[in-house]
Amino acid sequence: MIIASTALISLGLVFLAVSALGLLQLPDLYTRAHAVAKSETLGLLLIFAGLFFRPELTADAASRLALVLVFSLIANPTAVHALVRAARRSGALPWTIIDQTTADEELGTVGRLQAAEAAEAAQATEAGQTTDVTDLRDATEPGAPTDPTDTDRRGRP
Amino acid sequence: MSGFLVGVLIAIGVLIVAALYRVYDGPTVFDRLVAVALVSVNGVVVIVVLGFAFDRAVLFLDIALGYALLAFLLPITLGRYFEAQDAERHRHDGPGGGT
Repeated sequence: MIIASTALISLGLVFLAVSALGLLQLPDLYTRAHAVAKSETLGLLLIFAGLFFRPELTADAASRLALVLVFSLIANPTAVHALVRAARRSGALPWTIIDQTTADEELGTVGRLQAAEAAEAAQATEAGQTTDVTDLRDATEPGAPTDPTDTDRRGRP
Repeated sequence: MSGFLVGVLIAIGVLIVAALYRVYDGPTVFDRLVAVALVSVNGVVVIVVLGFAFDRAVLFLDIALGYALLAFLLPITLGRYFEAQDAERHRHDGPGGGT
């Protein structure tokens, strides 16, 4: 009994640690929310399931623990989903491999940055030197069509 | 008060501090709110485990239920608030307002 409890709680702790690690390491809001909504809920479920096997548990505590478990199981993903929906509606764009400046994008400065980079690259090709900058241009050019919403919003008068 | 449960509490405390770094650092307000949601859920786990560690599980589980309700309402309410605030700001800027 106590061994099953310890194993379940330890496994739950591993999932909580994965969730916190994802919150710190993943690149943008949507991936972080994915870590919080799923891994966190599973870790909580496993820890509460492990607490069901503890010797301190009484009948009263078991019913309340089941109540907290079911409520958290429903409420945590729902809350994160509502939060991400609000972020999406307020204009946060998802992270892509091409443009890694999500923070700049959400501040609306990525259009200016891309324009500055394109101007730099054009100057570099005119001068016919500095392969570094042309490499940068090659890396950023395919990024422009993948972001049609920004260019549309910016191209409109 | 078993040693294993104390270890669990310390581990979750470390995770809460790690998540608080995202609250401090998060580039947008929604990043901060996601981190706060994680801290709240970890707080529920801490309260429940504390109840078992002190052998007062019924009392602490009632508190945990109330805290879970509040932790459910907080991200939803603040998310709606900041969503409305951003919509307001975009209306003031107008389309193509940058540069």
